[in-house]
Amino acid sequence: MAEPAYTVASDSETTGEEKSSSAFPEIAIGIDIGTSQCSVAIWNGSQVELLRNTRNQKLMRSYVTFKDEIPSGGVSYQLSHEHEMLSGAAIFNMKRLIGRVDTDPVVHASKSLPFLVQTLDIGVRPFIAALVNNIWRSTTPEEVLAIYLVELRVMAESRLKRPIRNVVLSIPVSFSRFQLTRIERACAMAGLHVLRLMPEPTAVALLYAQQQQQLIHDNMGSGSEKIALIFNMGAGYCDVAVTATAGGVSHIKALTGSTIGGEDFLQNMMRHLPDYDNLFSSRGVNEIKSMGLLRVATQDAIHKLSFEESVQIDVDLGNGSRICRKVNREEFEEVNQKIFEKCESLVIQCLLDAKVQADDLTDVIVVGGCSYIPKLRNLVKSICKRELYKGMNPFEAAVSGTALEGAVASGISDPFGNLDLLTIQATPLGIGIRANGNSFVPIIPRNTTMPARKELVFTTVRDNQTEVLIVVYEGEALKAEENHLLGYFKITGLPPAPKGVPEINVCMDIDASNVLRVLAGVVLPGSQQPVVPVMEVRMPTVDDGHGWCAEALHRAYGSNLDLVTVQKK
Amino acid sequence: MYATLPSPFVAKPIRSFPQKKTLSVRNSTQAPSFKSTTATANHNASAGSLYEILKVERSASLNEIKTAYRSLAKVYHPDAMGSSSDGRDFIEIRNAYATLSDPMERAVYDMSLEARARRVRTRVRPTRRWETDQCW
Repeated sequence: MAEPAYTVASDSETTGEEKSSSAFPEIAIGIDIGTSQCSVAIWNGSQVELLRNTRNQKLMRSYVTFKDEIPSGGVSYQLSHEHEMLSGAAIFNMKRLIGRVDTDPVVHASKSLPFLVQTLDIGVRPFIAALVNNIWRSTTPEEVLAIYLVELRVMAESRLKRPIRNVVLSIPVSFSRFQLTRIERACAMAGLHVLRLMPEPTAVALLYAQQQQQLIHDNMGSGSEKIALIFNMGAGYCDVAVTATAGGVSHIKALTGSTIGGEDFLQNMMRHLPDYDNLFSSRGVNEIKSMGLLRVATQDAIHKLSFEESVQIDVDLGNGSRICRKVNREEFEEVNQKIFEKCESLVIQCLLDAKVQADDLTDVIVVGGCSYIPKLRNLVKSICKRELYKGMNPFEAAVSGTALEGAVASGISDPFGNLDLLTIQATPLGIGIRANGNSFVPIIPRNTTMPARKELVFTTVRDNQTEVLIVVYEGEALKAEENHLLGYFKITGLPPAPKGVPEINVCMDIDASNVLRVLAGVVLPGSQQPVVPVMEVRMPTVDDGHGWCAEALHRAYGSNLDLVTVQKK
Repeated sequence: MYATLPSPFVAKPIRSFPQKKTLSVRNSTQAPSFKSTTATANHNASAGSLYEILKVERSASLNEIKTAYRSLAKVYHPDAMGSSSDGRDFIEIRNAYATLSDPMERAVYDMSLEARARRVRTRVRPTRRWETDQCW
């Protein structure tokens, strides 16, 4: 079949194309971009169907190789061998790299990957390159993702025999709003319009809601509210959500996530093997090849350890050295103790945030690429005091949820009520401003139901202060600069007044499409009218170099334009 | 799409003003904030109790409240099919639900309702309206 040719638009091209106003509702496809594997699904009129590529795969490896003139990704390209992905010519793990600056520990951990991740540690985007004919060819995570998305799009279009434009993508809970803009940019580069970006466990929650509706439909379930905990751990991220479901409405009560996943298990295990540091002190072509061989062997061993007590790693690294060692499950669990502890704390935190006791849970759902690891299953089981839910394919749950959301958000209805669904989302991270010195003051706390609108009143710190600087951050850290910078703006023209007198009202508004607007206005006591026009800013406005921006603002203004919260009574 | 978004500074029910806890004493004794003048149009519309917003009885059980919330969400949530709502209604519904679904907050709210009723009986004076966002 002749497939239409598509090209990736330039990275500098602007995003945010408006939705085309077609008279026919186009069912949006659901895409799960995994750190390790991707999949595409669509509501086919009666159920969710995963689309297969020409090699009949539903789950496709996430990588793009720059080996040939035209880069090709894991949707269309057939690796001659697993090692080929690790030759330096292929870029993978883009979901771990996208939208991160070069001071981010996750970027630093990616330096052991076979392609080039170079950091200058100054708060700008890292330099990423693929090795082709002994030349490091630069690229960006957005470009790699866009190339991959174009392949997925071509694949879906040839399967469905129609153009694809609208998509729903699943994303990790811990992604900042800046990272979301990078995902949107990559989609725009691939000619796709993002209808929704759905935190992964909330996609699983929607599938769960639909399954519960189906049970009622089949007279097998009760209509009462069901509370489920969803634990989703893939190669790059670990996310937890608590949802309350009834009547097809999935109400997300709490969300939490962290950048830990199978990749960390793998790297810890590789470091645990003898001579790792000696072997890979330099990064020539041979070392990259050896590293690739070791990576494949270790990954294989970890997979086997989910079902066997011990395995033999025996790998010829091609440079005359050989690693031959028996590893057992206990060792694996010990080496990764910190990751398991983090997973535990995420589950406990999420239950706490949702104000739900383990006894209140109806179901406990464990999905994602790491869901077969016995230690993980056991720790979730023991915290939640429940056997695990069996009604879901751990690799297909998230993409199925995005396909359902794709159909619902496209306005498709189902005669049997199978699409009579609704997700009430919550904010995964708090959003606030810098105030009270260098503190982060959340205005919309995390786990606030969306759409959301909240406001707080601040005031000046100096007499006759005529300007204030509103610096907006997203995150959970107490210190402002430890959070993600989303943007900043100044309110000028405040009439001279003693400190503490002007009321600076900062309002944050998130609509159902997750668009954040920050509004700020000033009133003086005795007056009801704003003294200067209200500022309305759509965020994030910061494009790159987050670290620099915050530092430069501090250098330029010190605390001269500071704010404090009005004393709570 | 952006242009059609409602501005919270223009049309906003008076209920969602942070008239209380987050403000200083000074604020709670005087006009709330610079938006109040633009919001007077909604004054009457938002005078109803949280029970009226959720369309349930004062004596409704927690289950009834949850059911009412979900069925209203299916109509007023911006994602809900065929909805012409601009999201503001849903925030109001959500706020009402947040208070009434928590037994402690509901008790506090019920007391404030009774207190308000008493005040209205004795003297006609504008009363503080409950700010659901800020009660925890």
